Amino acid sequence: MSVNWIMRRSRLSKLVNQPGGVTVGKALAEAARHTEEFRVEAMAVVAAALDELDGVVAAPQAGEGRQAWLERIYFLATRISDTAGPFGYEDLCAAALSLCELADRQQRASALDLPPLKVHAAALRLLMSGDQPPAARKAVLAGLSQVVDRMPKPAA
Amino acid sequence: MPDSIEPVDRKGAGAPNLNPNTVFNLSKATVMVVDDEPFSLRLTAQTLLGFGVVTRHQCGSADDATALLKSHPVDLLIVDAEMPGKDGYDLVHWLRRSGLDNAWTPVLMISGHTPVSKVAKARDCGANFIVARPLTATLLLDRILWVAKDIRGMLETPTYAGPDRRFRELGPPEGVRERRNDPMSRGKINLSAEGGSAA
Repeated sequence: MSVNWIMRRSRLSKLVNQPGGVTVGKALAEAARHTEEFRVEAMAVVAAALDELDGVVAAPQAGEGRQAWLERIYFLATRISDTAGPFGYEDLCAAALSLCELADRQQRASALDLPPLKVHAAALRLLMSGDQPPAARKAVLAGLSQVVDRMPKPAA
Repeated sequence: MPDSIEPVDRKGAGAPNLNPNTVFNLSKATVMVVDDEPFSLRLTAQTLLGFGVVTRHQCGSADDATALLKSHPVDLLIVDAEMPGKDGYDLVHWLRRSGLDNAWTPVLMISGHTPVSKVAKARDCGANFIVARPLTATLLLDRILWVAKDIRGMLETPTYAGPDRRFRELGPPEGVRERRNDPMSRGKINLSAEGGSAA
């Protein structure tokens, strides 16, 4: 088997050390300033995704439509995690990723187990409200983990 | 995510360890962001603006990125892993084999959840680093600065094209596990720094 080994310093590595620039502290402060204006929009995106998720979960599809239905749940969960994550909603993000895992396992197993999906949708609502103390949020995430673990992880 | 995929960081691991007084300069770097989610695309681009990146290409699909990569030099590629149709893994896999000047551009792959069906693609796509969501500004900057000092050589084999996955000198970012059991791990085998090709 032929192997080419290429040693080439990237242009990025040269540019990053050029004179001038900014400190990490200042860059992060600037980034926060630039992105904070997106927070309201982010929460609107998450709220819309949660609304759609509720609607999708309430109308399970059988037969040939099941995979596409699970794919939509997976997509909405990724949208929630991608959008909420940068703004510090770590619990919400973790719950959404848990739903991704669950939907993926059900897709791989060609199975439909509705109650765990409903539990995740409800948990996302709960975590979105932000009313619970940290211990309660942690318990919610632990419960979701148990729900997912009930379904065996398929082989790659 | 199985153990075989590295480097990957997860929530709670690989926490950024940035020194606020460290100085860097990205003002002349051209960065391309590829994400099918318009909101995430704009958010990442705005974050980069805060880091001082002036030239930012925003692409909503792998196809758009492919066209730009053929005609524009790019110093850093930040790609969303999960996209409909041609995904981020496909894009980087293509790039590494493209023969373009951009073929070995550093790549940060942003991944939320990796479906079981894509584990092998993720492992072998050729990205420099897979960054787990949630993608905060601190995490993104930490990984950009890490990949900027990534001195690993690039391997091109019939089955894989991308960074040498055996960490030797640099090691993964602070807190990110490396494959200590790999006999080629840091310090165990001293490979030539000159590189070249071998058969």
